[in-house]
Amino acid sequence: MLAARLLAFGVATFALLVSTLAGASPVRLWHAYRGEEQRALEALVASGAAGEVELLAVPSDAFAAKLGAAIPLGEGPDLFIDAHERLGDYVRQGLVAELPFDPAAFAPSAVRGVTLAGRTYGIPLSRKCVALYVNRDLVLSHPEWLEDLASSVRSPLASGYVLLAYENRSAYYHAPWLTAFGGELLAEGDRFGFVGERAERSLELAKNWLDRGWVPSNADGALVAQLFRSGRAAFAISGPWLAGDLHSESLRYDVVPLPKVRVTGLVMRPMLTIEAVMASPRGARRPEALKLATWLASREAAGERMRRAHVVSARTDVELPADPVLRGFSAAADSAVPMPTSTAMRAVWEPSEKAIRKVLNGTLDPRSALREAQRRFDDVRRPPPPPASRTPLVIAIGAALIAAALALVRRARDPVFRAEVRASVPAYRYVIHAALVLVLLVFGPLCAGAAISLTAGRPGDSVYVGLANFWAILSARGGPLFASGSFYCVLAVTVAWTLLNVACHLALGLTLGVLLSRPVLRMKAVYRVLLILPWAVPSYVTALAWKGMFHRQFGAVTALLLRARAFGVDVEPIDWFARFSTAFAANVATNVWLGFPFMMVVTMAAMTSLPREVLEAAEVDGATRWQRFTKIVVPLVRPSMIPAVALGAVWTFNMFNVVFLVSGGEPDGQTDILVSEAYRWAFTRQAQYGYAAAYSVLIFGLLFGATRLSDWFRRKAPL
Amino acid sequence: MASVAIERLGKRFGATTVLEGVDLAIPDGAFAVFVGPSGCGKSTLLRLIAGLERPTEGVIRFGERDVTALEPRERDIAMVFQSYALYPHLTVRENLAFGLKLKKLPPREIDARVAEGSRMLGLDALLERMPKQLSGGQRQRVAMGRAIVRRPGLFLFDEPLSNLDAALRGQVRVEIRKLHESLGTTSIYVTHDQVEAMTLADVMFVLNRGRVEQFGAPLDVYARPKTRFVAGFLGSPSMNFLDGTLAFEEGAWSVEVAGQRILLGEKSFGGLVRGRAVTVGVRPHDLTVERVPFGGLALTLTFVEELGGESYAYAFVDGSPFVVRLEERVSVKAGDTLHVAVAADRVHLFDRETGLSLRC
Ligand SMILES: Nc1ncnc2c1ncn2[C@@H]1O[C@H](COP(=O)(O)OP(=O)(O)OP(=O)(O)O)[C@@H](O)[C@H]1O
Ligand SMILES: [Mg+2]
Repeated sequence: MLAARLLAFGVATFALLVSTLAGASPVRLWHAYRGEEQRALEALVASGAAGEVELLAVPSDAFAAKLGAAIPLGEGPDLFIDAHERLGDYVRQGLVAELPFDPAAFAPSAVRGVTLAGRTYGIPLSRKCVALYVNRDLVLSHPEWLEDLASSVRSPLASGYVLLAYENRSAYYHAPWLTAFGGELLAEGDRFGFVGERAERSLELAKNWLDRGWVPSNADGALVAQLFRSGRAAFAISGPWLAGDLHSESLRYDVVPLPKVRVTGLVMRPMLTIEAVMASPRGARRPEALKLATWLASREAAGERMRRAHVVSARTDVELPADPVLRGFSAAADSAVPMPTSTAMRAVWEPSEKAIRKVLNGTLDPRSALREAQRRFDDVRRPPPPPASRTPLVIAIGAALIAAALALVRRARDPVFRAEVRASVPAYRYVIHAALVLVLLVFGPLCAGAAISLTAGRPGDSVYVGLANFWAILSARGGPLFASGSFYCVLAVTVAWTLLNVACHLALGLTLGVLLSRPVLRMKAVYRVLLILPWAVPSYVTALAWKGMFHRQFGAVTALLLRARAFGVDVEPIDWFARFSTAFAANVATNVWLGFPFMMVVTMAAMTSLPREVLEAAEVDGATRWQRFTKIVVPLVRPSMIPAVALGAVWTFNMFNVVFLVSGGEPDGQTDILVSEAYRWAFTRQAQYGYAAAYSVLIFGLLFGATRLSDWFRRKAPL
Repeated sequence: MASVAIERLGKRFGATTVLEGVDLAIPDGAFAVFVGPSGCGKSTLLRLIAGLERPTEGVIRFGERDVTALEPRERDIAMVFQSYALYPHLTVRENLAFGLKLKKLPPREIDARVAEGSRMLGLDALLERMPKQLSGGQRQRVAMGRAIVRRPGLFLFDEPLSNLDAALRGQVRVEIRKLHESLGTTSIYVTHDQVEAMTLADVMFVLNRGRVEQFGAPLDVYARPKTRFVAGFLGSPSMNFLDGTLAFEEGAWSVEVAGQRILLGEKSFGGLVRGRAVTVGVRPHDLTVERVPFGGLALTLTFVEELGGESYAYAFVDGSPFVVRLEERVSVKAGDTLHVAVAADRVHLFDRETGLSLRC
């Protein structure tokens, strides 16, 4: 008891010591800015009004993870600048401290954004939201009503032009349509808000616009930017990032707040992101840090930032520069709704977008689609399984250790084994560092992953739940075993995906490899380089390129199909990602393109070791070209191909890039494979790391079992 | 069974001409041997006959059939490769049966032929082995067996013995000849080994630089080489060549070589012209040692090689190397002077410019 008190006292003194020492150091400020905004911040900090500051730019993808890792260790920043929607997470993890300020000079929505449960965590700096871009060459007047967009263009739009370019399948961009009907994505009390009549009507309107051809189908950010930049869109809904893209163009455009919808009379209100300066618990105790935060959010600093970085300030008492774009965004921000800070928001996106896509594709009516989305949301938000007793685990590990120890002892008694061990001691000296590296880099993470799979809950407050995750996965979360998205369904898709791909890789690679190995072929080197090229390009670049080619309106594949019309073949442009078969085919095509060069190279290598005289002997013996291929070439290259095929199968089984980037699991997650499904559980569904880890352990188990099985087969039937 | 006739055959690989104007005829059932130094085009000629290469010009006929444009499998041939080229993934039995299965022969027939072939070559015990479990000699036999069971109209061999040791080579050589006698199939055999050529051939074709230099029965070619190249290529150790001039004195022809004289006798034949520059060729075996110096060559020995039954004495005449085969153990040593003579009809004379024999 006394010892414990002494320890506690020691720790407390040490902490105090550390904090006083820290007090002597400059204020540490982390941010994720780039370009103009980074320069503006640097200028502000350098102006000296803030004392000594240490700035660190952290990549925005890694921002939250780094904060979560550093702050609990006392290593993190005193202050950091981040978007307000992450506050829910940060507060829960204790990464951010309360930061009171005088709200009078700030936009009410911005203050609301940084307020959680009546307390403010961070001082708002800027506001970002989407607005309406208007191409002045195509549009006569700025319409006040959404319904008037079509009539406000100068002349009827030619084909290849669109009225309004926006990412209609994204929930973020659908949010303004929803608000125009008085709806919201996340309702009071962390309930799913995207249901009911308002949501349905908003979807009907969006679908109506799509059906009229006013809106490009399947548009992503790149396509919207491209359409507007090239002057082929009369209007676009996008954020300040698009304006950054338009700098160099001679395009004449305006930015105005989103219009109103006549049927309801309500404004389309976009989602608002508030960038705020936040304080870590340590920073909140340092007066100089608080001083810096106040200075960064001051009127003077806001004006400076507005001038230099063209961002809309969160303050209302700053004089707007004459920049019309900035004025447009400022007006848009005034009507925007702050993004919810609740962590439940993370579970909203995926089900909502699936519902939006289904409605836009016409596969489901709005009501059913939204009901399904709600079910999905509720499923993901299901409370984690109850904490389980650790005893079985301890017993299992103990039993395994004891069994291992017993086995070791029994072997150690064996004199032959001892002699062998003694003889190989010098050999171990040479491999020990490699073994250590393996343990550290492979087995360590593997075991850590396996350990995580036994827990549930979000990082920070996860609990041990035993095999509950595995049980949930293997029982298809209590639903029908082969329902869409269940483990077995995804497994079946993954197996089909792997078999089909490897078969195509092998067929194509073998054929081309054999052709390229023919001694009479001219310009062999050229073909070889050309055919290896798909392999040399990073796979995500290829995947994105192929996704673009499969775009329904603007893709190369569609262009080819339309070209076929000239020959009397009547084809409609295919919406590749609306149906499983076509989406799957698009994925497979991309992956075959990526994967066949590997098989080709392996084949060519195997062919060079093929004795020419053996082939000639077969030729003299009466074998046709095909017989020589099947009876001589294939059996002889088989031994070198088998490991390549095994490797290719494992790669394909886990080919995340292609599935994630090309079809993205569309339609409705049907083309997702096990890894991409695991990814979604980890990163788009409430950060269920334990559940995702259980998926990974299952994938590992499957692959491990498959390789053992194939080894066994090979040993049974050699060559 | 077929005879083989080749007319004006030529083969170029890009800019290099490998064969040029090859004409030859091999009678039905004959054992023909192509012999020549390395790189002379023997293998290329054989591969043209097999159909593994296409000629640049010329015609190949099997009997009456023009096969120039046919695929190998349409030519009814079997070939034994220098590397044996066994199918490494098939057992000996499957290797033998491979060509038969492709012909879609009934299984009973295949079994019978494989059994017969393996009996002829003593492969019975090896039938279930893989090629990599065989010795070099055994592989060679399998390669031959694979050719035999096909019962082709023409056998082609490309240096089939060159990977065997000397003793085995002699043994297999005899077996090949025996096989040929029992099967009677026309065969073409490529080698650079003149012993093989001499012992196996019914008809021998000496190739040089892509041309047939001379052909005929092996002993004829050996005894009456038409060119200096053929004379030098056949025989071991090879023929001694000396440059000299023809002379006619006291009613007899002779060749003067470095102040010495080799007698040719009184009989005159075409091409004998006084003062003509010639190359004299004398085989080491045709020289006899003279106790008394008369009408022969005096040699100062530089080296003597004793092989037991016979020995070879080496010298230089007029700067050219010169070898003498000594019958019994003549006790000579380096530094001794040896007088040798040669029977006049064993002296070969070649035009110094063209290399053609003066005797024909
Ligand atoms: N595919 C080819 N391309 C170019 N030149 C070739 C080719 N095949 C053979 N040659 C050339 O043709 C010539 C004859 O080759 P070939 O293989 O017929 O010789 P060979 O008489 O069989 O010699 P060896 O006794 O060494 O086997 C050689 O100079 C060789 O370099
Ligand atoms: Mg050769």
